[in-house]
Amino acid sequence: MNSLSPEVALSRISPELRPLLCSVVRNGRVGLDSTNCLRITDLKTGCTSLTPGPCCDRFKLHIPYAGETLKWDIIFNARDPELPPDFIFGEDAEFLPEPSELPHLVAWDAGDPDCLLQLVKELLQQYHQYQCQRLRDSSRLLFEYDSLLEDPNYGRSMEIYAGRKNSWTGEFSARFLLKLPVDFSNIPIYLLKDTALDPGEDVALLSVSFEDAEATQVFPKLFLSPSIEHALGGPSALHIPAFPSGGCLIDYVPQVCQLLTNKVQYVIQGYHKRREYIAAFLSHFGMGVVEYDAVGFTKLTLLLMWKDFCFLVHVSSCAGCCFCAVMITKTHRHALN
Amino acid sequence: MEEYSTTVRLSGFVLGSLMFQHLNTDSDVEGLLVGESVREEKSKITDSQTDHIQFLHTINIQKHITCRRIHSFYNNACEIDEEKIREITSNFNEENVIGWYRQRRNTTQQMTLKEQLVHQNLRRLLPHQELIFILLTPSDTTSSGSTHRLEYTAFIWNGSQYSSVLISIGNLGMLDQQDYWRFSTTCPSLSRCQAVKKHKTKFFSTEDDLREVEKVSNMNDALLDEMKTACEKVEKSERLVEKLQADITELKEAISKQKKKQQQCNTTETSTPNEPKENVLLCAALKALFPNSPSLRTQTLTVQGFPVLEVCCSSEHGIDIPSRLPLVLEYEQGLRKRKTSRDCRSQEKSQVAGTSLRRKRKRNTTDTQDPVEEEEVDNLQDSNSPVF
Repeated sequence: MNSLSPEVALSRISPELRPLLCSVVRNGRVGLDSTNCLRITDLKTGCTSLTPGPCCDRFKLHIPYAGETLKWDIIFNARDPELPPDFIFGEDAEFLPEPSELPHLVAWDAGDPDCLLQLVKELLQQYHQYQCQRLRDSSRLLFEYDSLLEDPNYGRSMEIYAGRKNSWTGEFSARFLLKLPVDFSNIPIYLLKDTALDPGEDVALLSVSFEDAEATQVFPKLFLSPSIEHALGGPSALHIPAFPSGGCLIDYVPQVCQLLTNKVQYVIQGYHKRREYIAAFLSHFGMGVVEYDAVGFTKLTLLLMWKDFCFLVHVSSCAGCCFCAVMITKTHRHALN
Repeated sequence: MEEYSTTVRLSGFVLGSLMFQHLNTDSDVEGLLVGESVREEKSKITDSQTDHIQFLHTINIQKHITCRRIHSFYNNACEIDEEKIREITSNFNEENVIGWYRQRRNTTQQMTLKEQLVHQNLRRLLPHQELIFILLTPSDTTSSGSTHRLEYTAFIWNGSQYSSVLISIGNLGMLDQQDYWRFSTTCPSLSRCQAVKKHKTKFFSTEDDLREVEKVSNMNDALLDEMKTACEKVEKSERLVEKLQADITELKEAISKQKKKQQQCNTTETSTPNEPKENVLLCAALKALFPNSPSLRTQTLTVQGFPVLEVCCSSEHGIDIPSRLPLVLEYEQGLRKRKTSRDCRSQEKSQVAGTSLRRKRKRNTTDTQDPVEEEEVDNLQDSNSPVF
């Protein structure tokens, strides 16, 4: 699969269609996992090989959804750019949305750069409905979905992917992707600020995979946006509990949410405590401060003297906790002079 | 056991025409398909199975109607414009439209969202036909563009989803060797059609049946009518017979009841089973006519055929001859008259004849002969009564 950078993709697209794709590749964040942008691959043309380029008018759009990546073919016609696009929904051949639920298809406006992106969002909504309908094959999973739907904290931010029913074993699997309503706004900015990492929205997603319809094999996984993960101390900083046998999502998800919230609060409080701690040192040993971490308040070095004995005191703590380690370095008075 | 199969037949020149159309167009193309749909039911009997039925559906594509551009007969919501369809198919019978096609480069062999919606709406508009959708997807197989590939598939709605159907391409003629062709040729030429149409009425009726078949069918109908009439007659006669049998049964029952009653009343007067019954009227008539011949009133004969006089009836039955047997009296009176006139003429003759007869009889008769019998013989000479 030839993954193209947005600029390369745009350069090969037919000029009449370029504004539409520009909106998709630059602003194309759909669904819960908005950290991943929409990607375009397999650019092809519907014109003859004698037609000079750029004339690509059909491509494959990769859409993150419920932990999967949907690969939809979008087909334009370079000679008729005013016509709305056509779609092939990959392996979901049975997915057939109603045109009445797609206002941006019925009232297609080729002059609106956001029209294609809006149409893709509408199709995703219909796709979500289609996947929820497929959950009816399993009463257990349908119960999980209905119970989460009733809770406003989770019902509005949920994506479901129902797998294929195994015709041999009769097994049916599904994945729930939920956006956890955790407030990350009070996390210290210095923890989140990292240009090397994704600067997108801070989000925590909980993915729960049911490998069978009776929920005997359930595998949860927590996905954090890179900045949050870094802020909390890395991938190994937070371990969510295993899904309890016989449990259900409506009990488990709030438990994970609370755990994450507690962790975030711990980080925030730790920061504030460290700041207070450093402030106290500064106020008491203001003249003896050699240096200190004014961003994270994790380090402080003091130069102290007692009866012609001069020494440096290094105070440090890790970003996630208030634990202080003290190291004393002996020095001679004459060295200081 | 039932088996269903659907086949799409496409001639080589129609496929070539489709390819030529798309090659000369710088975008996707679409249009309508014209042809005929033939359904056939074959019953296959083998040693192991006697009820194997095959339902064969063959769709012959004879022509294609090109649309000038895509999206010409439907809108963004894929609703069909009926006027546009009629305009496109103005030169053809609407019943001959058997589907539509689309050609799109460098895409997969899978129906798109619009194609599925358009096909659904076309099926609603043309419900009399099972429509097919043919998808042709040419693509480059090499980066240099030296080799191209064309994939083609027919899709048909099978009730729950679209299924692909095998397309059979005929090159210059029918590839399968058969003694009898069950299907007409694809896209027959205009001159052939004209010639057939000119002479068709001689062999086929207005409903495209062979004329002989129509005649046989009429005769069969007439035979059936006659048989029906005969059956009705038989039914009537059988019912009459049934009714008569019922009446007879009733009468028999009545007679047997009456007999039982009579038997109960006459228990003392019943004779021995073997005793013969006497015809009293006959006995009375014989006595009146032949009073001197008691042997005529016997019912028993010897082995030689002579009457046994011991069992002659000598009782008076009390029959009133004039009222019960008037003809006997008339006959007796006529006999008397003839006798008196005869006596005068043949008295002498009878005396001589009587003497010779007596002599012969004396020589021929046995010892058992009764003198009564001799007397009877004499009496017989006197009368015209039959001789036993």
